[in-house]
Amino acid sequence: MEILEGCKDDDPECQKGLYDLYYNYAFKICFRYTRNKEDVLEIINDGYMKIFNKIKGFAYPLDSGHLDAAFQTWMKKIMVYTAIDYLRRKSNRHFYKTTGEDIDRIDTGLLYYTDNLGYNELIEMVRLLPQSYRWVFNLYVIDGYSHKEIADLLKISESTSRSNLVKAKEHLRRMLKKTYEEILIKYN
Amino acid sequence: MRRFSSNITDQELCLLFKEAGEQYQPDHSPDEQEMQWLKLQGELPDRVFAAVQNKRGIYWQRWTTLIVLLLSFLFLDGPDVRSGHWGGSRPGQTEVRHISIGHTGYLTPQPREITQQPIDIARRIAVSLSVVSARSVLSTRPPVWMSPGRAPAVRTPNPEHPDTSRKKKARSRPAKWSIGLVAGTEWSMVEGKSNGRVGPEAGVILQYRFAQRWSVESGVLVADKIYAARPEDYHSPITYAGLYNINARCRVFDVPVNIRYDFLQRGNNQAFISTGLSSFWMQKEEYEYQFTTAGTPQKSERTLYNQNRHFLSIANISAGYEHTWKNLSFQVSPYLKLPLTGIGFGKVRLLSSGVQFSAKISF
Repeated sequence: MEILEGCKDDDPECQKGLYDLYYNYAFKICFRYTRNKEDVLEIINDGYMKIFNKIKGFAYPLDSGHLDAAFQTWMKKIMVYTAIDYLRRKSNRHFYKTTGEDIDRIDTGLLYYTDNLGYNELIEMVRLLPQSYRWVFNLYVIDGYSHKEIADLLKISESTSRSNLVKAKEHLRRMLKKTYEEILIKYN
Repeated sequence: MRRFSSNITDQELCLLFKEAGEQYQPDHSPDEQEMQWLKLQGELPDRVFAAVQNKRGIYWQRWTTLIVLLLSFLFLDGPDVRSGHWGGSRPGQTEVRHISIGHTGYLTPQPREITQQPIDIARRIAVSLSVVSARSVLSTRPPVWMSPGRAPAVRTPNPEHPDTSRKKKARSRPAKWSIGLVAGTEWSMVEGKSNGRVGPEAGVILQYRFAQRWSVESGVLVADKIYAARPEDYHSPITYAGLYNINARCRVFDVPVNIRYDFLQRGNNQAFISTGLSSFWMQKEEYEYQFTTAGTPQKSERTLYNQNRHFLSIANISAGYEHTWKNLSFQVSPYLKLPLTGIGFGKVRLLSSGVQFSAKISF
């Protein structure tokens, strides 16, 4: 589209247009991978910077009807890479950050209970997961990466990726069960 | 209400979350979006150049502030130490003076000088600390006086668009080492006698973090320990008949070696406990002996320099709370020092307890 063309020419108005058009989409991706808002905002801007840099290399799909989807996929990949890069740099600062503390938080019921277990609450559960589980779950289940791709991206082994996924699902199941039980109690 | 069961299959779980990921709507305001755009716009031009400049600036800043801190401490403490060595008393020399009735001064050898110096040091340290921390916190580019040739080339960050690229570069290295300054007050007493006094303390500490919650600390602290001892607590070869009290003021160099465990770590705050051993070097010991001769109270004094050393003979116990911000941290820690052996000329069981305030830089 014209906006993409404009961005390829570094036209600031087109860049703003692109920014606004996909901000929500980018936000939703980054939000899932992080625990606090501040990180999301940093990642979004980092990601957009990369996008504006690399947009010259974005190739239009043959079928123009698929342009939106193709761009979203391309953009999502960049956002995910940026998110992981950023979080990995950030966690290096607190060197050996373990997940022990994080797991306690989940089990002590940091989840607030709602009547309507909506999508937002489900994503909150994902955000509560310890970092490594959260990443693998997001990448595999929601964003559709394979274990091999995940292993390359996170610099872990495929088996670690698989076991992290299993553990992530266990945690989520436990959270779902807990919330479900609370709902039952309320209605009985 | 969502279709839901407590025994959800793997496939259903994955589908549920995949759907959630696509359909959910997180909260974010249009104002926030605008602000983010402005921030991004501010960074788009010259971003690579600015990032390089800022990276160099950070390293410069860290090293110079470190040097300034160390120098200010060393030079400010210099005169007192040197006079102890060269100013008329050689190491090991003692002075004994008799003072007759009526003299009510506590300890004559310049008590003012002694109390003033550490307080002076502590004050100057606090000033240089605040200057340094203000500089490293407030500035977003290398101070002009450090790089006069480069100043015009550095892109001045627009005050409306905070420069975030520098923040990112600064965060990329793990914080293993920290060095900082300590100041505090200490209350010393001899076991059994509660007549203790408060004295100042200041020093430098170095911390090395070798695991997520564990680190080792060492450093050099200077403290004035003021206390009183009963004759039965004071064990020295020379004594006075009719001795009933000893007032003491000792300038001690304390080199601790402690191991610290952070039992609580939440975000930028840590709570810890630490224990270890200290070595004392008694740089100056002043004792005032109060005794009665034929019913008349009298005083006598003894001053010793660099005579007593106690290697790893004091046990340290402390706990504390630390708050980190960027690469700075501030910490408060109450502590206890228990002797494993007799301290000083009188080989007294000298306990010290107090609170330390530290400011550290990590790199």
